[in-house]
Amino acid sequence: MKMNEAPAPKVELRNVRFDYGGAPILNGVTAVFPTHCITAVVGPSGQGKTTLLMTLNRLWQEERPTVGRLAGTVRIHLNGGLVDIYEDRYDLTWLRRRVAMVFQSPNPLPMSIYKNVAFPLKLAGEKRDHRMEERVQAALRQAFLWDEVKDRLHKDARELSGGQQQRLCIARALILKPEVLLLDEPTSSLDLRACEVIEALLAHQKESCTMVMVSHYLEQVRRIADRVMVMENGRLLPRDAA
Amino acid sequence: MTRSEFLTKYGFMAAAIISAAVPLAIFIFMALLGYPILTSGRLFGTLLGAWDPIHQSYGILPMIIGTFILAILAVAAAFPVCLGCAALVSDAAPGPVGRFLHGVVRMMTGIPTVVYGFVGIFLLVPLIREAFGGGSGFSLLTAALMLALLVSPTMILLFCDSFGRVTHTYRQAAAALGATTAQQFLFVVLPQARNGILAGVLLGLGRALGDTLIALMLAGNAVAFPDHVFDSARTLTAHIALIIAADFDSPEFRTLFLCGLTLYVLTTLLVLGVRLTMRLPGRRP
Repeated sequence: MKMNEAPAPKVELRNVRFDYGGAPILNGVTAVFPTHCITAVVGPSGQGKTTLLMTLNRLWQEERPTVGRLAGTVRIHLNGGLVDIYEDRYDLTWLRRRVAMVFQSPNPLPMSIYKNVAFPLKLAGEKRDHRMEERVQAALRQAFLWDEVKDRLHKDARELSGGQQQRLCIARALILKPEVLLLDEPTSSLDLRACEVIEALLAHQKESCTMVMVSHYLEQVRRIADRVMVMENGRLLPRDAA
Repeated sequence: MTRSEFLTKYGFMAAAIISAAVPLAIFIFMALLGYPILTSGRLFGTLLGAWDPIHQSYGILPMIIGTFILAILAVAAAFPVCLGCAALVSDAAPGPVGRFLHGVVRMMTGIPTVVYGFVGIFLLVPLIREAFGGGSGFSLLTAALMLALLVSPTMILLFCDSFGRVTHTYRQAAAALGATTAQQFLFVVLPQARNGILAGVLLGLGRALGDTLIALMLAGNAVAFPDHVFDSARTLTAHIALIIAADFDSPEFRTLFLCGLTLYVLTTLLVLGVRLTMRLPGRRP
C-alpha cells in the first residue's frame, strides 16, 4: 500500500476533545485510521499522543476515571459493525479484547512466559488446556518468539531480554486476534536489532489487524508506516498538512 | 566530628541499644523469675497438664489451647472481611470513598480495647446467648468475634499497604488486556501481595494472642479444656491477669512466669515469621 492512500476506515474520530482535570490534552481531533494499515502518529513529547491511543480503548478511564473528560465521538468498525465505543452498552472488557495495546516499556506480568501469553485467554474464560497451548504457540510464532522460548515456557517472563519481553507483550496482545492494535512507542526502550525484529513483526501483522503506532523515530515511521499523522497542540493532522 | 554530629550519632545509638535491650531484659527477667519452675522437674507437667489446684496440679495447657483457638478463630473470622475491605479501599472504591474508609480504619486502631469489651458484653453476649441458646453467652465464639474486630484495622492497613505496592504497570497491562477490576485484583494484585497478606495475618495473630481484655471480659475464663466454640475458655493473658489480681507467692502465682515465657516465645516466633515472610521472594511464575 502506498503512503497516504485511503482504504476503508477502521477507526473514526470526530471532534474528539479530552481534558485531564480541566487541562486540555486533545483539542478537537478528527481523523480516520484505515483498515489493515499502520498509521503512525508522530510529534513532540507531551502533545497527547499516548492519550489519543488511550481514548481508542478507553484505558484512560482506568488511569484517571474521575478527572478525565472526553467529548466527541470515537467509532471503530468491530465485529462487522461501526461501533461508538463510548456508548454504555459496549462492555470495556469486550472492547479491550478487540482493541489491544502494547506499551512503551515492555510490561510482562510477574508470571511465566506461558502464563503471560495465555493470560488473555484465561480472562476470556478458556479452560481447555490443549486449546490454550495451541493458541499460545501460535501467538508466540506470530511474534517471532517461539523458537527462542519454546524450551523455557515456564520460566519467569521477566528474565527475558527487553526485545523478547516486548515481543512477548505483542504475542499476548495478539492472542485474542484483536482487530485494532495500539502501539505506544513499542521500540523506544530497545536496541537496534530488537527494533528490526519488531518492525518486521508489525509489518507482518498488517494483514490481520489495523495498527495505530505512536513513534518518535522518523526512520522507523518511513520504513513501516502506511500513513503518517502529526500531533501538534492537541490536534492531529496528516503529515503533508502539518 | 562536630558536637552536634557526636550527639546525634551517639544519641541514636543509645536509643537503638535501649530499644534492643529492653525486650531482652524482659526475657531475662522472666526467665530468672521462672527459674524455680524451669528447674523444678515439673516443667513439662506444668506446660502440658490441666489446671487443678485442689490436686496440686497447676498445668497451663488449657490456657495455651484456649489462647490458640481464640486467636486462630479471631483471625479466621477477620481475614475475609479484612481482605474485602482492603480491596475496596485500595482498588474498588473511587478516590474520596476509599480515602474516607481508610481514615475510618485508621481511627479504629485508636479505640481502646475496653470499649470493644463493653460493646461485646452489652451487644454480642446477649446476641450469642439468644441466637444459639443455652449458656451465658460468654464463650470462645463471642470473644473471637470481638477480637476479630479488634485485629481488623491492623490487618486491613497491612493488606492495603501490600496492595498499594503492586506495580502500576501490572495493573495497567491487565486492564489493557480486558481484565475487569475483580480479575485484576484476583490474578495480578493478590498473587503479588501474597507476602504482605501473610505478614498481615501473622501480625493479626500476634495481636490476638497478646490481647488480654477481650478474652478476660468475653471468653468466660473457665480453666477446662474447651470442647467447642460455645464453651467458656481462658487464655494465657487472662489467666495472668486473674491470678495476679488475687494471689501472691503461691504455686499458682509462680506458674505465671511460665505463662509469660510461653507468650513471649510465641510472639517472638510470630515476629520472626513475619520477617521471614517479608523476605520471601515473590510468587513463583
